[in-house]
Amino acid sequence: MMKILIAEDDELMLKTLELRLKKDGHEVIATSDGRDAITKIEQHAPDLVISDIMMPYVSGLEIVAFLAEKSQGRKTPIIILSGMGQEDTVLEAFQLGADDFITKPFSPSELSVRVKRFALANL
Amino acid sequence: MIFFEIVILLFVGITLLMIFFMMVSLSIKRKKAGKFKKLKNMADSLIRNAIFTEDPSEVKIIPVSARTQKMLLNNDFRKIMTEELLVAKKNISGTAATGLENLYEQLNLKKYALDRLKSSSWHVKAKAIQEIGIMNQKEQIDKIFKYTNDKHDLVRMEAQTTIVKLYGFEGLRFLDVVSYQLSEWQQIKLLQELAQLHPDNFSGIEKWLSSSNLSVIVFALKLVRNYHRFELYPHVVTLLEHSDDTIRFEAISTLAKIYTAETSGILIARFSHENEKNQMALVKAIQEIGFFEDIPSLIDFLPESNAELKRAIVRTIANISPEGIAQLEAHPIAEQYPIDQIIPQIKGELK
Repeated sequence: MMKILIAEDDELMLKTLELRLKKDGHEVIATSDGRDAITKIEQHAPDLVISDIMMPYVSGLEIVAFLAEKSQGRKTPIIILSGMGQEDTVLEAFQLGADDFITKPFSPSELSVRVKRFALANL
Repeated sequence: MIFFEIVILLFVGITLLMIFFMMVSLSIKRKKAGKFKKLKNMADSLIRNAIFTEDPSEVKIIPVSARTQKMLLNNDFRKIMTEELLVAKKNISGTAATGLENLYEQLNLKKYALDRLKSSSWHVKAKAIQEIGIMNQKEQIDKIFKYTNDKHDLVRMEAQTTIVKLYGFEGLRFLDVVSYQLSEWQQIKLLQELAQLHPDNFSGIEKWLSSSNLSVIVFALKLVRNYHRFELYPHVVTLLEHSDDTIRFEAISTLAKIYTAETSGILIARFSHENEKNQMALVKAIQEIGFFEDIPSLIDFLPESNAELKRAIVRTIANISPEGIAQLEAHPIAEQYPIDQIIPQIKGELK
């Protein structure tokens, strides 16, 4: 089981992912804005962050940069959720330190499998 | 004195009235927002139920309660439900997406989309077509197909994209009948839609290459080169003689992708008949597919060409063969301006 923070501005998507990951047995912290995501990362120190790229106040890229900057030794892994045609942004996210990405539309089950991979690496 | 009292009373009265209106308007706005949130929560809850399954391989069909059916008669709820379903469908794929399509069917939302197709407003019609495409309503093809040649460009574009989204390469059948021009942007959109599919040796291109609609010929040529349809090579060669400049340009670009040993010779023979833009395309195509034997002809083109074309020809000569530049340097034209300036520049590019 991992402590996962999801940052996604689409409420329905956020709830869906939250439900899926809770069902998989993870502890989920959900937020719909980037600024709040950073506060919650500092408060809860999650094992994994899943973040959309386009978000209000603070973007997914800024969250990736924040995690890379604050890491002392072991960095919190982050999965980026991107839209179709955002290849350049995904590339930028990887350069900043993102660990994986999923392009929308995606299946919640696919995300679940990818999260399991991070959970195994976390053991 | 009385005058001032009246003015002050009037001012106070107007201020109070304004405050009253502001409060009423705020209260109405709050009520509306509360109602919207309530309806959105209901819609989201239905969608979450449709998406979420214990077994990821299972497609869920959720029972729709009588209350939900009744709620669907409410325009606001129906609008919110449809919008939320469309947003979810754009974000989610796999069995969860099929669950969303099932929910759309169960709620019979397609009936309302089909009603909106009859609207006299183009934007309502275009949005309804888009909705039908996103929700994968394949059986509605007959109702959408007629709009692929609609007089309004945005309705037409939406219908063409939707037909291709639903039926893939088979959907391109609208090219048989479309009389309006396909814009450059629409061609890009269609190719983008097709790029996600497996081509499965689709048919029809031969007919489109002979279409009376020039944009259909241009699009067909793009299909030939994107999907490497070598069997259509003779048709493309005949289009080099077409009266339209753009079609000849596209034919040249296509031949650079589906060439034979004779293609560079055919292109060289066309050079003197072409305008400058097409001559440039010819030279660039020969750079990809040309042979050492083509170099003398290319050198012959140099005196009549403009500066930009001269540079492209020298670049082509240099790229065709490692001995290309040496052959050009052995020619008397190599000492003439501006060729004497271009040669060292191109040599620099090759380093």
